[in-house]
Amino acid sequence: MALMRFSGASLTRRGVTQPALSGLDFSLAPGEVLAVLGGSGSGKSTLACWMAGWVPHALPAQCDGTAVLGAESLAGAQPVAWAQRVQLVQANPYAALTGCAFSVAAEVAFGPENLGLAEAEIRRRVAAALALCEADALAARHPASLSGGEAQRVAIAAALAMQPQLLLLDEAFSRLTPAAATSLLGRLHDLCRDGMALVLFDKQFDLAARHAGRILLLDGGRQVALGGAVELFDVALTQVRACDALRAAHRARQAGAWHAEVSPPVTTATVAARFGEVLHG
Amino acid sequence: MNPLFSTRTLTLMSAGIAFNMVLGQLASMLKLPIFIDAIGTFVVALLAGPLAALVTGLVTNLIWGVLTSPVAAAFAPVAAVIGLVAGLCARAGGFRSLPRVLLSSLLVTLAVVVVATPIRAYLFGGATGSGADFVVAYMNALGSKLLESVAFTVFGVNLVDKVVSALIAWLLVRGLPERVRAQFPGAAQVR
Amino acid sequence: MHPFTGLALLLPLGLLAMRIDLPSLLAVALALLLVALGMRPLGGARLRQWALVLLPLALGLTLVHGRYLDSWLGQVVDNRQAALLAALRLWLRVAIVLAAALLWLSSITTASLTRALFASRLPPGVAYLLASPLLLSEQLKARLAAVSEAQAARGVDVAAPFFRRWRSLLALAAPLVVWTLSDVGERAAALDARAFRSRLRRTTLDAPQPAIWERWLWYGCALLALVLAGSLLWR
Repeated sequence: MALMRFSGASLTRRGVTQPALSGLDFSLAPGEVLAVLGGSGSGKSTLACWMAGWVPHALPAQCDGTAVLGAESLAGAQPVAWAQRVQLVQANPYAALTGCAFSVAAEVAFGPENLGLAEAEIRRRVAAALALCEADALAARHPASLSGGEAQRVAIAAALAMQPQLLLLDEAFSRLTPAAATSLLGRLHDLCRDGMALVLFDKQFDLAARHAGRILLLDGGRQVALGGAVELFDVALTQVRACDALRAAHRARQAGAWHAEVSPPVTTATVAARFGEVLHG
Repeated sequence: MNPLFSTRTLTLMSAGIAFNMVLGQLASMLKLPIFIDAIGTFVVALLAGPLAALVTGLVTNLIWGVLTSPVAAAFAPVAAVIGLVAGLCARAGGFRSLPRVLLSSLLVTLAVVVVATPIRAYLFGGATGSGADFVVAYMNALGSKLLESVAFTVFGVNLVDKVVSALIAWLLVRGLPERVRAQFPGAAQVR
Repeated sequence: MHPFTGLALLLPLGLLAMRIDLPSLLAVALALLLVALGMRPLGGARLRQWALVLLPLALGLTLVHGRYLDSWLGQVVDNRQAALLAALRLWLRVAIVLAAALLWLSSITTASLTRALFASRLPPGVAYLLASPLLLSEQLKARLAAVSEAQAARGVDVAAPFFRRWRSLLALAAPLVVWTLSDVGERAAALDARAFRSRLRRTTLDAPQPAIWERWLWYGCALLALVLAGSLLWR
């Protein structure tokens, strides 16, 4: 059974007539990794908030169509009721700090403490979450003293400590180095094997292609396409960012210089091989 | 379970208490002859209504009572009444134009006189350690009863202070970006 | 020591100060408290804070109760001695309570008090309202220092003429308020996302644990406070 399902769903912010999101049709299985790609203003962050259960209480808006988590409508409960099942990490990591904690360890522990869990369980969760985000060394630091990249690690750790069924990362790596982001995503994949679903909201095609099984492409708030990276290559690269090598392949395909039987390269790792195939027939 | 205050109101109240604690310090830094220790209470009253503002004022003075002076704790009911009356005025549209703001701050001042005068007169015998003590003593000397002197002094001091506080809070809330104002239901009553 | 223990002692102490009428006894108690306060770390600063509140209060009380302005206007004042004695008593009581409160504050940290509040039987929302302004106002003060530096660089002068200083007040306060209020929604979302207030009881890690004797002391203080309050009312 699907963990989350959107069907004919659209969202209109209060006080506006034009919908911010429309034509959403997708479902998400437990353990799946989905990437939502789109340029600036494509509605990624709005969708992330919707999936996190913020509509209509924290984000006043009118929803139409079906948007469910498990068997419950997403619009039904207060945001706090979803906290145990869905966690959203946004691009600004400082927004995720509660302002009630004097150390990073206390900040990460704040959520599980609110759930009233046993002390040993909380300590286990905090240690595991900090280790996964490579933030163990920050445990004793004051949250207000963290740099952008450090705060992003802590924000993700705080979300993981809640052990959600669904983790939404809305450009949550923007201040990490690409290498650090890649290794963190690798470790998040291990959690997905245990059943956590992961949704990456991003502007970068390579990152999505590398880590997500499927890609949902948003443009101006509308769902344009949903499918594998290879399938979406031609349409996606007209709208989102990609590294130069992928851009070159895209240009070649647009200009008709690509070999019809060779599939497009979707990650930097496969670029050389694909270009080779095209050159040598 | 539906709590009394939404989480957003709770964080707004915490911000209001912090404003109360910090902005008074700013006034003394600029050597301005006012307390303005209620701007945060006014801001909460404008954005979230009377009950939230009442609690904001009350908690501000309780914290202050422990941190800086027990005198502040004794005047906690006054801070609460400022929030309550300012919030009721805001609900009734008392922060929609400059004349209305002035009228609202007059109402707040009158409420302060009613609550603060007995506290000041009976608990502290008229003196609280501010420059206004001089006025009380002077009026006493001219033959007024203590209660009258105190009420007059409280009115005079607070009228200036509350008008200034209400005006600053009003200007601040009006100057908020629309994106921020939209988060608070009460902001629609402020123009 | 648990942060609440000092607070528990504060209540009966204040009531006791109200119950005692003998100024010499009150003065001895005050002297002891002030010496103890002076011996704490940062004692000098705390004594100065105490004096900053109590000296103006002494002046105001003397002026109002002593009716010196009456004499100055040529009127005869009787019972000045008795009135001043009452004022002295009031001053000593306020002075004792503030000195004791400052002594308590010198024995705790904001962090331990916050954890104790969150671990207490208070609803989490109330604990938040008492604890978070302390944290936030520390941030705001730092922010204010930064803003005032920036404004000084742009020519806002704290020694400027009176009316220009009023404009400086708005110029300094506005960015601070707007910045904080824009964050209010995000702060609330962050608390909601961590299931804040979703359960009546929350766990608190590393909560300050009161010793057995401290618990007994709390109950003793509560009982003593009740007795003292009763005797004050009965009088």
